[in-house]
Amino acid sequence: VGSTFTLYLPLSPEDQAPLPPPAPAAEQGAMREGGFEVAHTVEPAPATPALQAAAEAPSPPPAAVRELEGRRILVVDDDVRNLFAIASLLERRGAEVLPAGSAKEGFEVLDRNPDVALVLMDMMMPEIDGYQATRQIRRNPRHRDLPVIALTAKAMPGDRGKALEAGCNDFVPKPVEQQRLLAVLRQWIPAERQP
Amino acid sequence: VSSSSIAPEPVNILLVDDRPDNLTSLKALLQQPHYNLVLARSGEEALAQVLRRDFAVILLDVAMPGMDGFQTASVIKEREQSKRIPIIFITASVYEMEHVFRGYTVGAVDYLRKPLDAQAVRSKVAVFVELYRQRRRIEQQVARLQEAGQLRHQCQGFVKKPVSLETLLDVVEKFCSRRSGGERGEGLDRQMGSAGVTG
Repeated sequence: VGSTFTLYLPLSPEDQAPLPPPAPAAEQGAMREGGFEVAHTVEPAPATPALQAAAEAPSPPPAAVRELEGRRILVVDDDVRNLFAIASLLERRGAEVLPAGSAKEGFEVLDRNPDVALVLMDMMMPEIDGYQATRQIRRNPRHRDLPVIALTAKAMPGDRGKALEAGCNDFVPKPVEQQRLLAVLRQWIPAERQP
Repeated sequence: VSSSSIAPEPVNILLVDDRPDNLTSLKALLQQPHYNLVLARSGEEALAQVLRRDFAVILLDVAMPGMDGFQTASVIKEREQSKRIPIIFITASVYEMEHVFRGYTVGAVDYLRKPLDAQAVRSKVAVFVELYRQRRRIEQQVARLQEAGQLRHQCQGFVKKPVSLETLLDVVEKFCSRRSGGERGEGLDRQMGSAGVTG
């Protein structure tokens, strides 16, 4: 046992950027409905040589970027390309994404994973749409306080009110803009110290 | 946590082709006990599978309606968690492969030419499966080293406090027996507490 080895110890809680406390969101929702605009911020492409080299290294990405570390997020969308794009984005921030291609699959995932921190729900889906799915989730008392964020079509402002009425806490217009989505997630995923 | 199990873990291999007969023959060709062959009939189905599990290698038909093989591959390679999965394109035209190789900078890319040569398919897949298994082994060893390092780190912390060697050994022993029991529950701190040690 006298040997020495170099290794990567897990980050101490202090090293992890905590999420800001959730802001009161009902008013903010209304504000956005009134045409609140968010600046476009484009994330650098992950394929630049420097970033790639960093990704190959065994050490994890910087803590500040991994603001969703350890959080499990259920994403329900019937379009697999959307699912894939959202998963990539959230995983890069450290989240564990549970994908579901339909509301039905979403229910199953939720039953099997009581530790889901948040649900991202596409509203436009065949068979059971996002509104029905959210209502069904809310019927379970265990999920009364589970944040459900609607993904609504940008061109249909009426959908947003409908989504809130169905039990969604907030919404993000599609096509999803990265910074907008992350801002909403920061509001709804409570800051919580890792064990 | 068993380190050296004799039977290798089955590895997932994704086969993607829009034509069912092609999939069937690929499957027949690769069938063996330690391969878990997963079939997808389109690029979209392939993406859905890649989101749900890890694959040792993907065999991807280039010419498919909807998302073709190249489009599917570039989506897979945009995602951190899947960009290192090796992709073997299946193509009738070797000519188009030249520019493909320049397009991907991460993760292995290879190709097989149609009509498929059974031996070539099996041996290429076997190479990637072996690489995958080696990587898994290394990952498991790293995880074990990290655990050992944490134990050492915590012990050093305790040694600075006035703790008898006997108590310390008791804690380490408990930690080890817990580990070999397959449980990774309580941390050392809790165990120090139960051993009657106070800071």
